[in-house]
Amino acid sequence: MLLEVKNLNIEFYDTDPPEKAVKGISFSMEQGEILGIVGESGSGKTQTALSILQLLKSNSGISSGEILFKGKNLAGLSGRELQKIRGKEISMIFQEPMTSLNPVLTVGRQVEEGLKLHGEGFSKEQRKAKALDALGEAGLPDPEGIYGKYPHQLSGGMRQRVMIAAALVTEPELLIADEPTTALDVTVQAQILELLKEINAKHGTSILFISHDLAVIRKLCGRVLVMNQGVVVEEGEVSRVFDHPQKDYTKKLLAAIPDRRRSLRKRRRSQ
Amino acid sequence: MKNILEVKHVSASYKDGKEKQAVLKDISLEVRENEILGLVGESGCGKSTLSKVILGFVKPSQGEVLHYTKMPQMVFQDPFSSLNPKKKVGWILEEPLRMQKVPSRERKERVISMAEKVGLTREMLDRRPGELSGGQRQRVSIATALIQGSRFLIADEPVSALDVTIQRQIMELMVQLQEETGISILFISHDLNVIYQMCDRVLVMKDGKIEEEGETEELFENPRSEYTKELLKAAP
Amino acid sequence: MKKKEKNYNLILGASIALFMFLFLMIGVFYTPYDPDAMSGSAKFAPPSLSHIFGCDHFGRDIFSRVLKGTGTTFFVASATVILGGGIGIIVGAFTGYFGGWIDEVLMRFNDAVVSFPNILLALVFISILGPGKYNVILALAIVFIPSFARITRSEFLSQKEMDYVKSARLMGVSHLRIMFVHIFPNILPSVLSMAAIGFNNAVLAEAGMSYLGIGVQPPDASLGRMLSETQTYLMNAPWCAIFPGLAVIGLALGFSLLSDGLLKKGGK
Repeated sequence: MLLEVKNLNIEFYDTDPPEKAVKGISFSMEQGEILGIVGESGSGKTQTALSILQLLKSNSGISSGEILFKGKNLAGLSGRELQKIRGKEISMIFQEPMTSLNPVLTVGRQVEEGLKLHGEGFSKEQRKAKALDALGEAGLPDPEGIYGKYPHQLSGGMRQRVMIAAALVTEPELLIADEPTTALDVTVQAQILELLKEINAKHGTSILFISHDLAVIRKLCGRVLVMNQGVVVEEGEVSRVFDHPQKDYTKKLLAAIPDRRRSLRKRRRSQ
Repeated sequence: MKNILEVKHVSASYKDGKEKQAVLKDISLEVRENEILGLVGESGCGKSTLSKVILGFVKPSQGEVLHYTKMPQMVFQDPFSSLNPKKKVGWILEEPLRMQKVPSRERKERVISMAEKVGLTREMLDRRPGELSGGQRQRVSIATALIQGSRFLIADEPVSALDVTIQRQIMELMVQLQEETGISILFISHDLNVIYQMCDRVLVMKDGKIEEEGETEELFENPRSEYTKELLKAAP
Repeated sequence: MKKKEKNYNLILGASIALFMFLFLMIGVFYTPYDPDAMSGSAKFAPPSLSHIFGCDHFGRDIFSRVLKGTGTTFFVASATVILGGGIGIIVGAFTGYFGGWIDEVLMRFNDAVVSFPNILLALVFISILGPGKYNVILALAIVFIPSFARITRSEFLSQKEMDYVKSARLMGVSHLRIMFVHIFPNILPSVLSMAAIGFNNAVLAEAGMSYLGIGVQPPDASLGRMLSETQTYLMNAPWCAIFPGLAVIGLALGFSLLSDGLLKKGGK
């Protein structure tokens, strides 16, 4: 078992009484698995993802529960202990490739950052070589050229690839991805999903993929948790959940996805 | 069918520093009476600029825009910025009627009946936009556009910022209102599936040009342009 | 569900400001003694039951003079903010909303004015206009226009890009109505906060100018003037300076906290 979340509760403190964002959820992840968490806004999916590395904003926090990563409870770790795990064994990528990269540092610096913090005495050349490898692996053409560029010189899709390179350069066991394709165009989104699949297949990196988009989850994940208002409504293999949903909420969610099977237009339907 | 809008050979550009960046390159299109026309394209293709040109917010460098009805109204993508946060919903809905010098009592009546039509309760009229959900706000936007009696609506990604279940409700509402009133809607979206479900005709835009145009079913089943094929393949 | 966090700045600032206001309102209608009446026997009388703040070097009752002086200072500061703020807001609203060459010209002019220290500039105007209560108001108002204009302009610049403004344009709402009915309520918190800061600066500027002897002229009581007249006796009769000083602090602190509180409120 790679990750085990037990009876996790998350609360917002800035309301009176505290509002429960996540209400006692439990789930686990095996090594090499791609697990999706899908839900609408207010479902608690992002809070769940952020809580794993204690990245919750200061107005919220874990009120009870355990987050076991390879048997160690992350929820009880101090900041310094957690720092050893963050970006080394567990990495995270976010929705906005614009704001999650530092605009005044070169791409190379930012990809190497993880190695500097956790690198067991890598030399400058070794770090650069590793960064170039990671950039190449993230599917960026001409890693050498991109290494010295600044984020604003890249397109949204390329920035997200840089984020992925920076997250993977330390060869983490778990990658948490919070809506990483939401801000991207469909064609770019499809490429990024392909890339994540490749990485998972090649290195066995486990991926916890958070999204509001059921279609994306279906394309990428093996197993899925459907969350609504802080609880896990349904859990199971993606094919099972999507083809034979058991719970009403999941059914409603699936029925709402726009597809290309049926038009909403009476006029066109009657044609 | 009559046209209510014709865009003829319109080009437009932005100044990017000293260089002029062409955003629209010789665009021609028409919007017919009683139809939902979809405009699909990826970011930077110029679809939002096109709507600004139609509304007169951006002057085209070439070509002309012919309106055969009153100025269109607009439903914006971001329901958080499209409604004045300091005003009550009722006040916002009344404002266009105030501009048309409609007497106070009639204004109130029309606001209430329009609110009902779009599925807003009377009590919501006394709230400010901040106290409404994203979906409710989008209903207010639609109501504001329709209350003016406009026959033409431009909707720029009106459902992109919404959760799927809410998205569905707003799509159904727009289709229903269109079918009831027979107005025309230019529906801009990046989401092919949303376009498929809502529109009668579709324009595919790329790099400031219209790549392909056709009846919805026809275009989705037999796309001619390579770009359309690629888009359809990438869309889930 | 309610936000737990209380806006202490706002509560405390509003309380102090309200207290100072009530204090000076008393002075408008009633003072225990004639603030200008001198008495040789009461010279430097320390605080006592009959003169609770004591008496100054002419034997004038300090409590009465502080009452009146706070009123004068408040009047000068308010008038400055209303005049300077009013003009500044209108200039900022038009330049921010319409932009173009008017904006360029006015903002460059603004930059020029802002590059001088406020108080220095006010001194220049006073030296042209001559001292006195109304000239102080005029000089300070002119000096304050640019800062009000600048902030209002930047608020209008960001607000005019909002979709609700476009929406109003499409409804056929006139520019003036958009500016003052649609946009203005949205920038009100920062305008109020700006006014409170301006008031604060005006209080200090008035006190400073009166202290230098070029502000409010006798016989009008002014806090700044009281401070300057009594500074030589600070060691022997500290009450002569302490009480007017406290009044200046009260006004300045109250409105400064009020402005912080308003900004915080608007930021939510």
